[in-house]
Amino acid sequence: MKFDWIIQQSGTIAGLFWSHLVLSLLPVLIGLALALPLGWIAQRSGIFKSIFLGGAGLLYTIPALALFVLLPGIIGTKILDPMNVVIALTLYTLALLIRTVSDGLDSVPEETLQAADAMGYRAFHRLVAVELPIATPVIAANLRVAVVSNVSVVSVAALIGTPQLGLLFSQGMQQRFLTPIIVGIVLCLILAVLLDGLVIFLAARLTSWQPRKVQS
Amino acid sequence: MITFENVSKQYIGGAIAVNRLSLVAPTGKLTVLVGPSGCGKTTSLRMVNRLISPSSGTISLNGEPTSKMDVALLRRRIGYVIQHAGLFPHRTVLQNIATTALLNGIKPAKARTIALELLERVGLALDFADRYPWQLSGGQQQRVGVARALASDPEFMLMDEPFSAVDPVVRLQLQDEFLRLQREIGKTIIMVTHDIDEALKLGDQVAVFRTGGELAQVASPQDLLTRPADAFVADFVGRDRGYRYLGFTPMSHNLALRSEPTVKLGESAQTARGLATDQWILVVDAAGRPLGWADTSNLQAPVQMSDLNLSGTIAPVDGTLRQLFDATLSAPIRRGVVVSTEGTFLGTVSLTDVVAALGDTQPALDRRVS
Repeated sequence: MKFDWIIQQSGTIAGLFWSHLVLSLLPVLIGLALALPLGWIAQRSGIFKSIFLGGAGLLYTIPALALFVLLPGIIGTKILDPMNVVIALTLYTLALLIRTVSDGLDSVPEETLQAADAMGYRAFHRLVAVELPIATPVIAANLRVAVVSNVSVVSVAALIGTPQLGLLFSQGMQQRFLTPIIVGIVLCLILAVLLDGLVIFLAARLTSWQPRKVQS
Repeated sequence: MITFENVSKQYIGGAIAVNRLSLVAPTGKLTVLVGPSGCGKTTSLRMVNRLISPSSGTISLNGEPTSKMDVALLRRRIGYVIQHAGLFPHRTVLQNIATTALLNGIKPAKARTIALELLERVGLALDFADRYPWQLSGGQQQRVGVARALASDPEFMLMDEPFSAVDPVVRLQLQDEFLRLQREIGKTIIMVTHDIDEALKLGDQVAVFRTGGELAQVASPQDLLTRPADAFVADFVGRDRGYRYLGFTPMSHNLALRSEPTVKLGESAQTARGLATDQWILVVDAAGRPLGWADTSNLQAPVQMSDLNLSGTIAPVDGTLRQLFDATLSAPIRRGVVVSTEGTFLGTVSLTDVVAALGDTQPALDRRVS
């Protein structure tokens, strides 16, 4: 461990940490925004459910690195554009969350839905005011998985040169220098724990109505 | 008034759930739909607020066909109570009740006031306001469900087996309270149940359905018991219909109550034996409310709770012959205890008196049939 190296490089490391954070979080936000309407459609229609969930399963089998490399060719971005990473991770997150949103909406008790309909809720109002709040515990649980796995997948993007904490790994490997690797691992862990904590905190705020359980 | 005119529901594949139903649920009255499972009673109920759409025929509210109304606006006009209450788990009791008021455009502050009033009205203490549904028992949830349906002050109410998911003791309690509430608010209600006793107890009018979605008979509970239209209705109404009919016959006012010596708890065995006209003596509390019968031949020490035989039921003086008869049969010495409306002891009736009173009801039945 060379601490003087860490101090010397602290500005660069902070920059990498920040871009790692953005690259991990942005796809989750976009993915969730897209998964809500798509998951809702999937939950309501058998055909769309098969198409979406089938497509999502297929997407998940493509290795992250392959997707990073292929995307520029498909959508015409530059190979070093961080957008490639954002889009690829958004697709993965979306694949995970469509099912999650659909399952979450399925968890709303039938008599609650019937009561809402019978009281005169219109479809969109019912979704926002009744279904989504009740589906939040299920959605939040999988959102944690998405956030944490994104933190690790982002580091793979070092291989295509996108700046984030993964660069510390490739740098350390090339220079046979352990310090950047340790710094990279520790910061990735800290980031994962922070983001996971953020999701837990928000979910707890949104689901304070639930019987209190031991947090897993 | 809710009117069914020739309403049918046939599912794809041909199964007929409701067959040419014509029925009027009169304004301010409680109409009960009752029948075996698969008789179309729930389908009929759900067609009123278009949770299920009829295949043919017309359903109208006060003469206005529901098919022409905006479906959400139609539903907001009708209070709806279901079996497991269907409360919103993510909202507090107060928020749950206020929901229908808010949907009908009532301002939040006003909706809150209404919800608080209703909470009290359905018999829940104010500290329930901020609890969540999972913190409530089934019976309490059902009360909230009723309050929620009432918060928009709807003219009409639909109730789908509202009391069947709670235990029998709570059910009777909810039924009694609901009857009292309905006497005050006078909503136009259609209620579905599979329980004929509940139908006879709650309904101003009872519609008996038979399998295949056909209406077998619509009548008042008394008429259903005394003049079932056919063997199906007679069978469905049940074996004890003669006895049940007494539940609709008020206690005769000129029924002679016999005076009965009473003792209070703590009275000596000697005094109790001295007062008793026979082996048994009625024990009352400090306010004069009957507690039970004590067997004086077994008394060793002053009368205490453990000496009491509690088998006897109690008939209120404004009650029915059924209650009087039951009070008499269930007492250890065949003397029925009658109390005032406040619950204080008035006197007893002998089995002979009750049987005489039963005899007096016979001419009324004869007139009805002729």
